[in-house]
Amino acid sequence: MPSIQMTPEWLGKLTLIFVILSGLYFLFIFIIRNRHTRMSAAFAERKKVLGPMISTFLFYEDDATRSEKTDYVGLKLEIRQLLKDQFNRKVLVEIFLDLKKDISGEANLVLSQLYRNLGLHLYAFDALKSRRWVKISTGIQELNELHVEEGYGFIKPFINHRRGIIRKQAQLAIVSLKHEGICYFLDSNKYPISEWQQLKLMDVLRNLKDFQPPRFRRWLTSKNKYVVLFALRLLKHYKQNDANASLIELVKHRNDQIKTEAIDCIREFCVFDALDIMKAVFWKYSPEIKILLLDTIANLGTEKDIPFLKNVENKEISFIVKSKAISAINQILPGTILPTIGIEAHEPYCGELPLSSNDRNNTEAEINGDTDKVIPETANGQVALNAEEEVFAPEIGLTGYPVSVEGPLPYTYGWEELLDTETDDEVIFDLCLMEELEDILAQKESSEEEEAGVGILPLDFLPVVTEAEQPIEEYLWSHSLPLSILELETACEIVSEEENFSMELNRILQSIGSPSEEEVLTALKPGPSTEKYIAGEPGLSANTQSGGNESGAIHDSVQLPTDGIRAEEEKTPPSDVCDSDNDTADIIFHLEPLNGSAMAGSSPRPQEAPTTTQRDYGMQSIFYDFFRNADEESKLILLDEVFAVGDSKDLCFLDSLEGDASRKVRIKAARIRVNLPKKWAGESGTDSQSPAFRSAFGRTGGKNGRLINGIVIRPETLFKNLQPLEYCFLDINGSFHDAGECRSNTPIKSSPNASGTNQQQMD
Amino acid sequence: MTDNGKYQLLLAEDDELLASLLVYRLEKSGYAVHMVHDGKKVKEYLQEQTPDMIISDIMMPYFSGIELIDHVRNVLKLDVPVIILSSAGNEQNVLSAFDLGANDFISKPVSPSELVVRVERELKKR
Repeated sequence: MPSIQMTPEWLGKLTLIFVILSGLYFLFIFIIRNRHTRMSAAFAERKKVLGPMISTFLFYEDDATRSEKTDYVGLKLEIRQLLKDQFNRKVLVEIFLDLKKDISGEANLVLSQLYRNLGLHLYAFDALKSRRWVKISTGIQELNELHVEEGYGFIKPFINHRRGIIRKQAQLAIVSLKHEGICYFLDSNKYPISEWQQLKLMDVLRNLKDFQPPRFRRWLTSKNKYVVLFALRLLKHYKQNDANASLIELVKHRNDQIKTEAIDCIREFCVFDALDIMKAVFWKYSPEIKILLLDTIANLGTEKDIPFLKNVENKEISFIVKSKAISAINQILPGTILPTIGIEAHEPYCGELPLSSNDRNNTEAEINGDTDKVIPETANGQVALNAEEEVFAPEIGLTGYPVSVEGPLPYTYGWEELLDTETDDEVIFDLCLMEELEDILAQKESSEEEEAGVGILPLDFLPVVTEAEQPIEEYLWSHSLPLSILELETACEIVSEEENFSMELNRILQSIGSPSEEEVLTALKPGPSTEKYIAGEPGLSANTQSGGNESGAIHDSVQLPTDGIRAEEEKTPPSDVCDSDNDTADIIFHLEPLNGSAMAGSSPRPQEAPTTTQRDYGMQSIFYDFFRNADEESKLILLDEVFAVGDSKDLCFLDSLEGDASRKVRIKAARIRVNLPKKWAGESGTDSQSPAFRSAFGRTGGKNGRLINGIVIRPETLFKNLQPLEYCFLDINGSFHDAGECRSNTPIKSSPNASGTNQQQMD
Repeated sequence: MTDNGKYQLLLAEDDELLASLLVYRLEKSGYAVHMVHDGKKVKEYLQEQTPDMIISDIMMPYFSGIELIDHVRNVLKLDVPVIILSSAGNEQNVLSAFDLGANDFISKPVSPSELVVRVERELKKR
């Protein structure tokens, strides 16, 4: 191998050669670029000249003026001269091609016509005869884009040209120039058709105007598999379902692409006859084709195909194919195969409420409002529920919660088993919901029972009063008990706290000379003893005047001075006491006319009549509704309010409180009933003219006073001697906190006798 | 309006061949058309004159048709009708043009006769 001596002289020669070659290269590029630039400039310049000429030709109209026509003819001659130059032809063709893309409508058609009129298509035909593939390709493109149909015959031979670019240009031109071009192409094409070319051909076909596609099944028998493939795609594109037999046969084609397209067509056109052949060839094909076949069977198949699919599920090795077979089975018969892997074992769910069986029955029956309906229970004590029957409980704010259902569900879960699944959010939600439901139901039960007056847990220690109070004399009368029982001396008395309070109060009142509690109560109460007395049992009435007011307590027998009372009543006519014009007064003092008439020996009024009227008028009081649901403490507070803001209607209401269950309420009501008119009198300054005063004492002003159970009460005396409510809070010894300020000037004379009977008369 | 009673139109189109063809067609219909090929020249022209109508391509050098509408409406405060030329599939730009105050829109390839009709209609509105 000859050695190269790297001498400086040799290196210098090499450098010189490299510089010369580089210079020549850059010179060549410079010349080429310069030429291209000059050509482009010349092109643009020529375009500016020829462009308006083309515009003139495009928009020339037959109704043009003479001068326009002259100009038009002159331009045509000029342009023909220009077309003799190749460069000008090039420029003109380029103008035509540009404008063809930029304009539409009638101008576009005129442009193609002008192209032919100028004879430029002839130059394109000549280009097709060229040996240079660029010229041929450009010529075909010109003829195609400017839609020169005359070039169809010249272009046909190029569809099987050995050079691909010419072939593709020719195929597009053939299909585009004439409608029958697609048939010629499919008949004579010998070369493969690329996917891109197929898309372009389909695009050309889609844009053809008034194109009537041929029956592409004719090419399903082509020897060129690409033609068959393209024909199958055209079949599917144009929805030509007249090739079922060929499609079935093509399922057995060697080529997977053709098989795939054929199967797609079968599924698209619902070729049910292909099911058998698809099942027959199934085991020979690749997994991809198998999946396609199974998908098609799933769409077209029936129950008859289930055994085949199950066979595939059992025998197929490929997991994807097996899954597809299961999917196909479920598509034909939904729910045939359920998921089994990764499924945890659970007992069936029954939706049982976490309540005892009794509670469940009670609460659900209450909410349902159907107490006769018994919710069946399962063997293990669970409530059988039916999800279809959802009953809602709007009264307790449970709208939307299904609370009562009937009939067993297919799945039943025990409550304890639900507790085991701690991670299940749904179960936790159910637990919380059931707890809240229990609380709400318990509250509802308790509130309902309180309203019904039935003692429940918090008040069970209290005596249950379910009947109206019955005076002891009535009790004895109705049970024929010996009256002597009332005359027995009390050896040991069980006094309740209320009675103790009452006794203390009486003792204090007596010490200050005020009427006792019993007297005040008696003065306002129309005791049934009066009527008993009228009926011929005076002794009984007298002995039991104050008895039987409080159930469960035994009092000393009280004897009222009936003779004296009777005498006083006879002296006092009822009309003086009860103002007939004042309804309220008439109601309030219903007792006096009753007693008076009784004394006069007239027929007695019905016992309930005055009480009912009294209650009706009492209902007009604003305090009536408050008292209905109030407890004892609240009633006492409300009575204070009655005293503060009460009016004449409240007197009736206070009267109606005589029958209140609470002794404290009765006492306070009576005391307020007495003191309320006094308060009004003090406020008005004129005792006898205030409405409240008249309401209480009649229109006459009560000059003669009122006879209340044998006590004549004159208003001026009453107001003068009665002490304010603060006396209720005296010391237990009866001494005033400030005796000098509170002591009345004229104390009530009290003369308690040995039997405890008080006869008081106000001066 | 020009001195001879013709409506003055401004055509902004970077394709000179198409622009010359449209100018020819519009002038044949009786309008005085001033043709420009980029946004800069449009701005310069609008600084000096106010045309009766602007016909503009969306895609132009230096200054797009959208910017031109914005300039006309918000900077120059001109109530000149604007017709937009845009290639198909450029709906977003067309919507933007309408938002900015374009009066009409013609898609490419353009039918010269259709353009003339739309120009007449817009000018009649005024």
